[in-house]
Amino acid sequence: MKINSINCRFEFQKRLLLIMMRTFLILFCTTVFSFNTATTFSQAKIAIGQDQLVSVKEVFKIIQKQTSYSFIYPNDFFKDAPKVQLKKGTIEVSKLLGQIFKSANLNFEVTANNNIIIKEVLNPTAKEKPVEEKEKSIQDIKVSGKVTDENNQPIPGASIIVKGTQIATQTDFDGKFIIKVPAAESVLVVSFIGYGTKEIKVNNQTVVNCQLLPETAKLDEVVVVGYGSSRQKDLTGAVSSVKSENFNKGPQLSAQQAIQGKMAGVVIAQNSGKPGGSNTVIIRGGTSLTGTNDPLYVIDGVPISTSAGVSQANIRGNGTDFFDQEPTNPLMTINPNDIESVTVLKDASSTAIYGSRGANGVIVITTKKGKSGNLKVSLDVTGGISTVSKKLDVLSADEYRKINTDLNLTFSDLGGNTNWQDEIYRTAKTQDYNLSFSGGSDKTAYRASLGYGNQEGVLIGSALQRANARINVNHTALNDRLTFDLRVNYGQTFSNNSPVSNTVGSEAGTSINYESYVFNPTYPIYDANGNYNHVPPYRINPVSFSNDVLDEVTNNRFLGNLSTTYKIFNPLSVNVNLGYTNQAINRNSYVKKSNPLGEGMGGYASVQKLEDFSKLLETILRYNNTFGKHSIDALAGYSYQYFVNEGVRNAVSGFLSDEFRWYSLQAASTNQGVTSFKGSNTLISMYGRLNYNFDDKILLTATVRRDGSSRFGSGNQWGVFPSGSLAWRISNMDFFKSKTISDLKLRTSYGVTGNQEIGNLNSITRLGATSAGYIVGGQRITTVLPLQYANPDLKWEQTAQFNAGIDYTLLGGRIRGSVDYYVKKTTDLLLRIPVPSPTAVSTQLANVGSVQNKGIELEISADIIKKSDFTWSTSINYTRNRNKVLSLSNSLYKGDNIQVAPLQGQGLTAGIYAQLIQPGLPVGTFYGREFKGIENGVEIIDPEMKVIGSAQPDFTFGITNSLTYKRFSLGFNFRGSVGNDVFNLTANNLGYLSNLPGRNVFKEAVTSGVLRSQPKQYSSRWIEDGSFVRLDNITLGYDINLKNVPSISNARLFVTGQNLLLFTKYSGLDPEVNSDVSGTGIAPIGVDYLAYPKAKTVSVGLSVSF
Amino acid sequence: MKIYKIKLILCSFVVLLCLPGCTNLDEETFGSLSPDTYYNNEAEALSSVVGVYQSLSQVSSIGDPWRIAEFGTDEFIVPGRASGGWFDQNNIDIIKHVVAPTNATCGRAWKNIFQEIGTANAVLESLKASPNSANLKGLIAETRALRAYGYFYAMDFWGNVPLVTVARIDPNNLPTNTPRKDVFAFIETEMLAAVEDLPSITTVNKASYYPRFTKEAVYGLLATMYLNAQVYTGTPKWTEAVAMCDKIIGTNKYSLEAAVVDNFKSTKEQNSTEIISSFSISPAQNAGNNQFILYTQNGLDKLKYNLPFTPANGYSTYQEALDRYENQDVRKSLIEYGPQYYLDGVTPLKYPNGTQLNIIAVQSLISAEDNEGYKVLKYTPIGTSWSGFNADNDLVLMRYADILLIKAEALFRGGTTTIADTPLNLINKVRARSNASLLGVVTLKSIEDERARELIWEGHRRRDMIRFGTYFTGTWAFKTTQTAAFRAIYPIPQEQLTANPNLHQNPEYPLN
Repeated sequence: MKINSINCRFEFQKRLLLIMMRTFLILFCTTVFSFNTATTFSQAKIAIGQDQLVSVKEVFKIIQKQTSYSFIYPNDFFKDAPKVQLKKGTIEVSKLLGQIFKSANLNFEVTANNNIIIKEVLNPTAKEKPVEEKEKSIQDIKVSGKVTDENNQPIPGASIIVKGTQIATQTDFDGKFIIKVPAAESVLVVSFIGYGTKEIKVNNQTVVNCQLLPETAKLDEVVVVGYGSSRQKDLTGAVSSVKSENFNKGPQLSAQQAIQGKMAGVVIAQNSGKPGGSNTVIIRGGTSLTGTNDPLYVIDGVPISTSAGVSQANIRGNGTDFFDQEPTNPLMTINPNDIESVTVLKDASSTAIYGSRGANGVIVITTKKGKSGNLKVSLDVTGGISTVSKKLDVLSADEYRKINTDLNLTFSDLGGNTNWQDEIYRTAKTQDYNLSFSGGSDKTAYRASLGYGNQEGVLIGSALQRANARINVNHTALNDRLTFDLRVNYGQTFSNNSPVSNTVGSEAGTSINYESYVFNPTYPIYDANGNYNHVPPYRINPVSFSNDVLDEVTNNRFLGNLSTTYKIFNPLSVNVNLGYTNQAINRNSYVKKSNPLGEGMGGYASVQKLEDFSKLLETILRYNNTFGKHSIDALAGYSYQYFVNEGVRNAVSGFLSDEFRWYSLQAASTNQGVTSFKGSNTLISMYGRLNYNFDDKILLTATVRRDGSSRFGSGNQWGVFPSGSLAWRISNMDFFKSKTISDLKLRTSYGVTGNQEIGNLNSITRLGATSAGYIVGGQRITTVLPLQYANPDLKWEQTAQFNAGIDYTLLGGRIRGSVDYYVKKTTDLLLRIPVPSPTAVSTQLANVGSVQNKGIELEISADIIKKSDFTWSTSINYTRNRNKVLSLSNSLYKGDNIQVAPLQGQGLTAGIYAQLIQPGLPVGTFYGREFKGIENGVEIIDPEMKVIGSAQPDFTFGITNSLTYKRFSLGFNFRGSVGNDVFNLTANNLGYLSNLPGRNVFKEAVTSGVLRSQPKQYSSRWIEDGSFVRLDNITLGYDINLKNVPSISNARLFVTGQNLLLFTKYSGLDPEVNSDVSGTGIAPIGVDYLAYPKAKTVSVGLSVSF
Repeated sequence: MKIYKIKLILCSFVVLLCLPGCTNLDEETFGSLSPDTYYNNEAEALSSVVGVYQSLSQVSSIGDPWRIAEFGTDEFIVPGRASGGWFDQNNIDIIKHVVAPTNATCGRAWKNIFQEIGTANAVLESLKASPNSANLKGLIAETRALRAYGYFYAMDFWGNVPLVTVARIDPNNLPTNTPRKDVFAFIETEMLAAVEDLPSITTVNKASYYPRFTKEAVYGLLATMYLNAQVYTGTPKWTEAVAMCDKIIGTNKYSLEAAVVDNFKSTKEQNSTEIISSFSISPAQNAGNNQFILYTQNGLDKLKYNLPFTPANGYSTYQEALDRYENQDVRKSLIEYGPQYYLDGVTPLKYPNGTQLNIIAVQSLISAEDNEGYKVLKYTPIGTSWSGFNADNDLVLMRYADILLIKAEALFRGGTTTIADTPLNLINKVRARSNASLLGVVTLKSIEDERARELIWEGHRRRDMIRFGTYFTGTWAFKTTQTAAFRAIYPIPQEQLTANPNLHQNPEYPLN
């Protein structure tokens, strides 16, 4: 053993400390217990509660507890002794000790005062000699090797024992060891605290490498929380965490998808199958009624703004529905491979430290750090193919001809037979590469990574390229009193958008997927001259979109922060965190004048350049001390964050040539509008937190944050957000004697958080220039009009949340989990209310109404099978949330209801809404008329308006399984939602014969028997059960045997399938879509309309580490 | 050395701790102006006043205020198309005279008009508060007239509307409905006050002033209002209507253009002798657009007029409207019906499959074929400069022919005049211009029909039909039943009742 490094990194220190405790702590003392003589030794028996594998020392403890005997022995006797298998039942102490001592060549004698003295058997030939002596032995085989952890990092201080002997050694600082084994058949037992023990047959090998995997018991696992970290067992709030090894696998995942389905209370839905598309993330039910429910994202301690910029990159105007794209995912520029862990803070006690931004929950993302040691290089290569998961049943050309003929309709027939969906979907290829380096000295560690991905969309013309670079450097100085953590991330995504839109509404409205459903199937793609066949004025050849409508978005994001910590004196340290984020979005679009869409404008080009940045300065004082049974962990901080967003948009039309596009705007004849804007806001905060731990029995946390935001009226700029929580570890109480329950903790918390996502300049009166002018006397005059009136009363939205929970661990960690119950009430909701007429502005932001969420969350994980070459563990989570709007009124404004989710689509009446927000009902309530059936070709609909469905599920769940067998591993997870309704607006648009002959229809329109004279209408006919179970992800991996390739430390081959199975009764493409039918960027839940379809993806990959 | 280093680092921390010690939360406004400091001169003031013009132009454009003045009459229909498109139950309800408070078209029209009024209120308040207000008298008068114009449409459509003259409504003191006759009185007072500070057509430099309001633009509206005074207030004001017409006629600046269509051409609108008020349109400069051709014409008209886009085949008219014209009437040639030809009049306009476009009356309200629906070619595409599908034809608000017909009707109904005109010579003046046969006698019916012929699609027909009673007693095409009297005004939109609980629904409309 050559462990002499003291300055190595903390994690090493922790490991070494544990090793030393295990190996040396009892070396220099002997254990003496005193008790009465009650029975004679030969008769003494002990009871074993369950089958268990324990160390010799633990056996002694059991005996001491149940009898009056104590043990005296030199401590090094059992340091390398194998564990003892205890069978359930009763056993005589003498028999048990006899077995143990026999295998270790020891003997014992019982003294008169019931001490058992343990001695060596004085027979030198029968006893294995220490390692040093064995070197002389001729038979010995020298075996060397290396022990690494799950990340292929060396484990220093791991113990290696030759099974059945006392020959043992430990790994050095680089995880390497050399041991002499007595025979070729010898078995090495490799173990390390916190890791599963492995047994390896030597079999004439001279090099035996071994990878240890962490034990699944999570109690000592450290979880990152707001402004710090906590041991899982010390948490007092409701927090879920997923580490990188448990992420969903597959190429081109977003950070949100990587954790999808893994946590209770966190509902993540991909809004569509668009490459790089957005996700709807809702933690514990939505609080906002008409705004966003996005949680706050904190990346390496820097809270980032996701609302700025991204959603503003949308352009939608008259006749340009096809440019109405869902926002891109703000986390797309972060490489999921760089993420170490994702923690979701759910209750007020854990989110209150983020004060005014915590109401929707907080997602804390921590990136991977470097590890000291030699350079490690790992490379991941993945390639895959995707196909569209489902197509819709529209009439084929022959069916279209027949129904039009039957209905005696004049229609155009070019004699073709085109399945337009087949023409716009393709088998798409995906590639993904990630390269990372890490290493460093004992003072400095680094990790650098590069990622590149290229993903084709299943819709022609859509693709996404992603490139990321990240460098994390950690440095310690001044005897570890000073540490620096520098993290820099730069990411770029470049996407070609397919003109998919889910706001297609007016007669002129169109998009590629809409046309693929409605375009005349008797038309061939091209005419005799090779030009696209269109049906003027409005039916655009679906295939032509990919060629004639160009839409590129480049998104660059820089994230950088430097965190400096200085230990002033032992319990007190100060941390200064400086952060900077910058995001630039360029969107260039062009519609060719050769296409009917651009023809009317003579070609149309749009250029947008949007940028946002934020600066963060945070100073935190931390105090951490233990006084006997009391331990205190406290912090106080100050934070200043400044956000700016600005942008320029230009739209022009009238080009002589389609070649000019957005490259030469000066070539356009008409300026359709030049606009620029800038806005900023400041958030200043003071906060503090106190964690108090009494003897690991009572845990108490109190938090307070005072936030000041420039966005609110002069009297309401400052808000205070307090919280408190209490936890009681019953299992540590003296009276607690359960053998089954290893750990049990009760928690409760209450706190207040806020929401300030209202945009800038909402509290003051403003005039602003509009892009439209007016001609007077032949001269153009710019128009300047009132934009908004002052609202100095505007204040924070507040969410008060109560949480009660239980954390449990059973059977020594084989089963563990938590149960939580919460009640969350949001008041002073920030709502846009209609302003009474007449006024220059029709709506105004005000604090109106309240909403409540109540719910239960269950998480359970179990190691079902835990054998050396076969393991199976499973995790299940269950979430049930009940949402209810309590009020839509305040002292001035009395609101009865708000209509949301406007119907879209030609023939569906404008001004009709699918959902109603009304006190007493949950958000997402479908409100309309009930469909009773079809009689004589007419829809029978009950005229009474009532609740006809709810988009809120009864419950959602996720099931994750991971199995290993020898070198194979298999992981798969199912995710599901039960009891939620989906409004199939696509079917409502395409399920009527009145579309004919101009637009094709679903087969259902013919089979339903509804006559052509029936206009389209919204009713419960189009509300469907959206319950589903999805096999999100399945991955089969194989660890390649590398015994002959010592230069490679690890190589893993894997096959991943994403979204391969979906069980649902829903008839549309996918029940889990959120269509932005309102065009506001915020999708109403449970409405399916013309979404970019999801894909099924199969990919293969290779991970290699050197 | 080490101690020095520690001290240095400690000092840096202290500095960093102190640096952000500020708690300044003032918002940066970045180009957002404050009304308290903006209106320093006439140019700055005009920049907001033109915004009110833009807002008011909705009443002459293809927008909702224009549509609710036309749907429900016997001259305007938009059928749902069999080829998809245009079906809108809201419009069908207006066509059938069964408008409910939730009608979306009607709700949008309210928003448009009251936003115009609200904007005018805000601009007016700021202009009056400006230290420079003494020099802004003309603009203040103009804004008052613009606001009164907005209230005229509000009163015409909804009758009893909230009458507010402040920029911001006190949420503790929400307005209630003002009876229609009081709104009428307010508009009258405001218009008469505004007219004092507005320039007359006789003095203004049209080249630099067009298309802003002159005194005559205000007189024109007052004439319309007085003509309908009996409907609005119960008391007729025929002589006042004639007097307003005479103020316009007396300037001797106005005369009928050679052809009706000249008023709607895109060239030289500011030189027109017939246009009294209009809105300027210049899409190439992103200053308004005219989309009548886009909304109206059949797709094949792209070929006929060599348009840079395919029109949408939406707005149409009825057989009843077509049948009002004599064949020799030039105005009939502005309606497309029957077999269609290129501009040469002989080459048939054909579909790609070879059949000639033959426009017939609308047969189905919800799934009309492509050739159903006669087209009114109001804003002629001949001579238009296109910016995509946006035409640059100025939108006409009021023209001299209307004044002549108002005077004819007011005289016929008992008004008196100082200028020697008779209803017969006034109407025949209008008819002669379009080669219609001259009338021998004037009846109420012939006045109503002449207005319908001359002013088709100019936003007057609903008002006229209500005044003549045919809105209630008449039936045509898809409006097959008589209409109850309470439907002379539209219901107040439901969302307005929600936003302002002090508002009451118009009589006999359901509360929800």
